[in-house]
Amino acid sequence: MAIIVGSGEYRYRIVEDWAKLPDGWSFKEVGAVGVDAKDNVYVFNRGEHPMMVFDRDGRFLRSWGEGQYPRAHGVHMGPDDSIYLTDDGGSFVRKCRLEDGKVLLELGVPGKPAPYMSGEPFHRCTHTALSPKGEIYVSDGYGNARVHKYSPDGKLLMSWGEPGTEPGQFNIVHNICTDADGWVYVADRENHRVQVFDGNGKYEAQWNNLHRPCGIFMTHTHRPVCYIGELGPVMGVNRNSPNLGPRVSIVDNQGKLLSRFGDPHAGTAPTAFLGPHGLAVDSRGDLYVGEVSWTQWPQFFPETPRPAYIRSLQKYERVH
Amino acid sequence: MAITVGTGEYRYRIIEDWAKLPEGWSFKEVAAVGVDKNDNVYVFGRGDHPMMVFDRSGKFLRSWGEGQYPRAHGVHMGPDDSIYLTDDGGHFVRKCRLEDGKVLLELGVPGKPAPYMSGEPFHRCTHTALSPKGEIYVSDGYGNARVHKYSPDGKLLMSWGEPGTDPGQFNIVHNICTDADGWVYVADRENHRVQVFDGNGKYEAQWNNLHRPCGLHMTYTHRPVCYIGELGPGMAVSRNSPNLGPRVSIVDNQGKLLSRIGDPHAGTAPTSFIGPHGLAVDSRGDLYVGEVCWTLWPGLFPGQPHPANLRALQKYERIH
Repeated sequence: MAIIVGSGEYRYRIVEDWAKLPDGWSFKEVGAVGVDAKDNVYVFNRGEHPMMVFDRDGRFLRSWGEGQYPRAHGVHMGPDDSIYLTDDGGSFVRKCRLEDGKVLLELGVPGKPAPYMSGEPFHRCTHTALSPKGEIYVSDGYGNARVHKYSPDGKLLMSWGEPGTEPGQFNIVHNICTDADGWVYVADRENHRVQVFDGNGKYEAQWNNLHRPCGIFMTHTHRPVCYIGELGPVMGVNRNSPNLGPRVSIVDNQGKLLSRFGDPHAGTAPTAFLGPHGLAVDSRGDLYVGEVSWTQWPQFFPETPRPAYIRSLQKYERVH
Repeated sequence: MAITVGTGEYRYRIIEDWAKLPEGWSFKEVAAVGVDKNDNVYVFGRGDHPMMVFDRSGKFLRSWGEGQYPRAHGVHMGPDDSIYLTDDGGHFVRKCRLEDGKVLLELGVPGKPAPYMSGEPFHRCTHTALSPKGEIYVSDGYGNARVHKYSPDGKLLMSWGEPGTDPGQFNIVHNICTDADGWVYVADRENHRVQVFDGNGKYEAQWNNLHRPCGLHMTYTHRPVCYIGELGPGMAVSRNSPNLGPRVSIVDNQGKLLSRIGDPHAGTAPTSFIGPHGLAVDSRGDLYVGEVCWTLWPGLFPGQPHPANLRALQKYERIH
């Protein structure tokens, strides 16, 4: 019996155990996911094989990047058969060839973070997005409160943001997306909002009524919907409260809620989440959600040992 | 040399060591403060003497309530020489006579919480406010996500709210205020916002750009300004970030920032805060800020032992 989640136009059939990993392999947990022009799925994870590629049926195609990525964090697909990988543990961004992970461009110095909150790139950068002209935005991140804008060939053009709660200030800049009109959407995670900027960092709007928005995904079109992975409550004071996530919300281009799924509490059921951290949508509207389940488990269940296996990726097939 | 904090019309001279406690007495920490029409100051603390009263120069007048208040949380001043005390540890609200603390009305059953998130009063209720007709609003709290409205004589009229992040939903309902026009302002702490409702719980607006708004105070007039105590970053991921509080913000009746006090980081300097939890303003505009410094110390400074005498109350004299 298929499990259906979501509501309205955004309803999904859960595809359990979609990814067929080689025997003995594991994601450990998934930082982010991307889908290429052929609907192949790129799973950027924190196991021994940081990049695993699957076809849309979950058949394993290849892996690359072994030993090269200390802590997988963000994925953005380039238009030229490239993928932008952001590694917060290494404080770098790499543009890689889809086929084999060959590094085409590198931003930041691997293993050499800029000073904490210096505003200089990078201190645990988190994600990447491209402008309509191919300029590169980098969200940065855990140890900065900053967005950087680079030319397509990697020259730093400008940066904006500082720590705080006002418009244009950030409290964990966790993910970044763009649309075909050039707007820039920033998941300002611990300010519990998404901020919208023009292409040069001018504040335009914010979306509220969210809980720790963490992963965001938009298709690169005009006025696209936004898929948001929200983290749940992990402070002693609200850990047991229902209805705060972890969950996935789909909102329109003005931030209006269209669909939401996830159980009232964190959990391991197919309908529940632990840490929806990276999202991607394929040409058919099917959704992939990668989760940092390993990291999140002790925050939700401090007294319960981690199970040997925790789900960290699931496919949601859109019901049309 | 006097230390001046704040900006614009809301600038203050810090009065250090204002309260002259009897020898050997301590607040431990201060949950809330109230000021009566004579500008006497009621300090609701978590030490052995839960209510201590001072005149405006800090001279000790009297104490009451010993042994009667398991965990002081909120103060609201009644118009009839009464004070409403909310105790979250005991799950009750008491209307008391100012002079001696005689209990005039009690809501809730001391020591008997309603089931967690049942919506029934109370589970760790937090604060109280009065409507223009004298009806009593109670914010509730840590173990409910609810506002209750009572008749002046204590009959439950209605309740609203549930756990969540949408308008009308709450994530730690921590303080509540009213104004002379009947609007109800709720510090929805872990949703990082203040929500505004009409007197019957109809959602009207929300104020954002805040960090964990915790204590609210408004003078009971038309379109009053709001004094907001904001907690600082309590999660490891943002604990070291500057510019997130703890701090005090003063906003106008639409939530627009007018003045802000506090250093970039939590601390014990006169200009900084640890946990500004309860605020009150006297007839001259002088501000009193009570802090839950004992409770918050380990969250802000993990591994560092509590200093013997953390400041839990400070007076800020308005500069006219």
